[in-house]
Amino acid sequence: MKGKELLSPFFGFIALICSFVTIACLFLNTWLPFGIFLLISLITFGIFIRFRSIELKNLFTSRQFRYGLNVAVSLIGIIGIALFINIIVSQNIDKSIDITKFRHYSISAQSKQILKNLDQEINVIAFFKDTNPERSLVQEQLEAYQRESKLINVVFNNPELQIASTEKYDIRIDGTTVFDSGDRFEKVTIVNEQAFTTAILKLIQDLTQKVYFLTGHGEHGIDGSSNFRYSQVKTELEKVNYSVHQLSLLKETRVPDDCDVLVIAGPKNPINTQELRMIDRYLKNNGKLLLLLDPSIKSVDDIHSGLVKLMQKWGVKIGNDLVIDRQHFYVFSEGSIGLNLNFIYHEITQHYVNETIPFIYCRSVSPSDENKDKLSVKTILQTKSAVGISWAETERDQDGTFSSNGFTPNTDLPGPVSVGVLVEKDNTEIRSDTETTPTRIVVIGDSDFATDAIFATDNPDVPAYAPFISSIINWLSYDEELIVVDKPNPKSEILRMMNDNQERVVQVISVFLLPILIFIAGLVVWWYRREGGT
Amino acid sequence: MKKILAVCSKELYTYFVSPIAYFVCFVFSALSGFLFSVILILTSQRSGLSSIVLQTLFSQMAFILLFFTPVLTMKLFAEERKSGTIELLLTSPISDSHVVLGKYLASMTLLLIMLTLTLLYPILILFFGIIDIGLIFSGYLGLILISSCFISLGLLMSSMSRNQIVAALSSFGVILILWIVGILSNSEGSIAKILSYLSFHVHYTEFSRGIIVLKDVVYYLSFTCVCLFATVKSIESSKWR
Repeated sequence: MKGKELLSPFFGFIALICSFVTIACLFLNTWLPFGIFLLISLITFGIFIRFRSIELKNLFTSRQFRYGLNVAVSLIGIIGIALFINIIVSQNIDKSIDITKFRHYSISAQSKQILKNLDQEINVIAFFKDTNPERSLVQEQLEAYQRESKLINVVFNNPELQIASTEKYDIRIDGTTVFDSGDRFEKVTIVNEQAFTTAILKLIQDLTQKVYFLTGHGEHGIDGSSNFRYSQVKTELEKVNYSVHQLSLLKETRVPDDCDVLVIAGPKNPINTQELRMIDRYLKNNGKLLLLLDPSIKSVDDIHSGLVKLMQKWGVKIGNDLVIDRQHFYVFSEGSIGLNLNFIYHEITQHYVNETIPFIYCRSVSPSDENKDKLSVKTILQTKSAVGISWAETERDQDGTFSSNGFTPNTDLPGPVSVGVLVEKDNTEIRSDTETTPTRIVVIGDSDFATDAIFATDNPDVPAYAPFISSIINWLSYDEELIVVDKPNPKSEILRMMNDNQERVVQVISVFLLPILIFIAGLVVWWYRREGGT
Repeated sequence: MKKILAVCSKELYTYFVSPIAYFVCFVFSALSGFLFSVILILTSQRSGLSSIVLQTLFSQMAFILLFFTPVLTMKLFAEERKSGTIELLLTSPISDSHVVLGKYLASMTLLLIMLTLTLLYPILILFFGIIDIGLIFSGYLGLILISSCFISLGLLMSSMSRNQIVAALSSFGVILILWIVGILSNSEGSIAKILSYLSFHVHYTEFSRGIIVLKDVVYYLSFTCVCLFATVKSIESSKWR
């Protein structure tokens, strides 16, 4: 009897320890130890019950046990009801409301309507590294799409790890989201509901936009065998579902109506007045233009004065000069020099801000004050160095060769020199008509940077330019804005910068004011009670 | 209802004549005020959004409350047991559920007062930008619901102990465990999913971002109800134990 009393706690303890280990094994999915420890637990627990049978019998028949059992059953009942309600709600009634003013975490009515009418499966492959700060934002956005349609499948791929998928979609930018309908796919490089919904819309409506490259003035061609052609740019644009064509205005009376973007890529000869008039008319009728214009090196007079005047009307000042930067330059193996320019943050340049891209022989292209109230003109490319180290050289010899005297104040344009600008026409008059989008123009003071010659280089420091041109075309053609999402602009939420005094006031009010008031209230109560108050 | 209010007013009086309410409010407002000023100044320097300030503030405030609610609830039953007044309370003509609900309401009232003081922060943001009323509403609703869970759990722990320190530490321990199981939310497997569903933090995330999710509201309310029911049973059991 005494032996049983001594041994029963031991077996009880072993049973307890073994049951903990059994649970741990269950969590770790180690089934053999799980079975062994479960068996030991049951045996030791059985021995414990056998040794303590009389005490247990008394316990089970006691009043306390009956009350305890009653409480336990009622507790299990209420926990069961709570569990049941939670399971039903989480599995079947998964409702949520985004009550934020800017609806950061839900999608607009327009997007919901498009998803509602979806009749084909769309696989969304988001190429984001784990360290990409926009990963969680895009995940939330895509989850909102999934909630609206079961035909949207979302997969996240790390572009560095899922190589096969990265190569299949030719992903070059971390943060690219691909919308694939099986036979076609669309790539989006910005995290934005408008861009996502537009990509879906383009897939289901099979929309293809047309890009025309002007010919007839010695421009870089899109076909042929020259190293100075734009065939890589053409391939890149076709990959993202643009239809690319050549256009000679000498044979036309107007720029074609189906021209979504007109590209003038480095003309070597002047564009005649008739053609300039057609381009002017096209731009006035909400046309989109990408102008890549090299400096006039061989003559003092600008051979593109007609184009320069036309752009002047659109708020762009194109200088008859050569941009020099003595600090940030790049020397090619054949001796030519490229400039490393600074990409100013914009939708077009956002993925190139930290890139090193050599632009070869550039001219200055900067915003002017012309039509300032109707046009928004912004610099997107400029030299990295300041006054004296970078400038736009205007002095030349008789044969057109630029002077090598260095920076001349009052004559040369001081650095940092603007080399690329974008123009956007005020859209308030046009936005009500959903079929038309207002004029957009991008002008860059160099055209050689996107030729196949640059692509052909074996220098790993030289990145691919085609995606950059593709980004420009996307922006010009409103490619990611085919629908206008009705959402308030969250930019109005941006906080104003505080000065030192304001920071001090905020600190004093939030850190000291409230605690001091509470402390004083406590002191008053303490003093009142000390004086005999109740 | 009158009986519940009577217990509630008695408890509130006890809170405010003792230094405990002032001490908790003082430390809570100093700590949340410091965090708010740091978040606001840093966000303003980076030209960030006012909603980022509020979202970060709400997340931090819920975490601070995790430490303060056990202090508010530790004495509610443990003190009565220790001083022997629990017998008077249990033999008085009010039911156990009235006692429990009265004490719960008193703690919630004190907590609401603490949260009301923090409304100063959105007002301060107004001087430097606009505020999102929807986000503020959802953030405070989340704070009230999560505090309700903390308080009901604290009441349960207090009802099971004679010692205030033991009551505070045990409720803090359980709350902390139910907070950190949320780290399993990204893990695969059904057990990880069940454990992460139990997490206070996982359910709170959406509130702090301005989204009200039905399952989160149901979780917090059902958790509070289960804890209050268990507290009533725990008090009842002291009559026959």
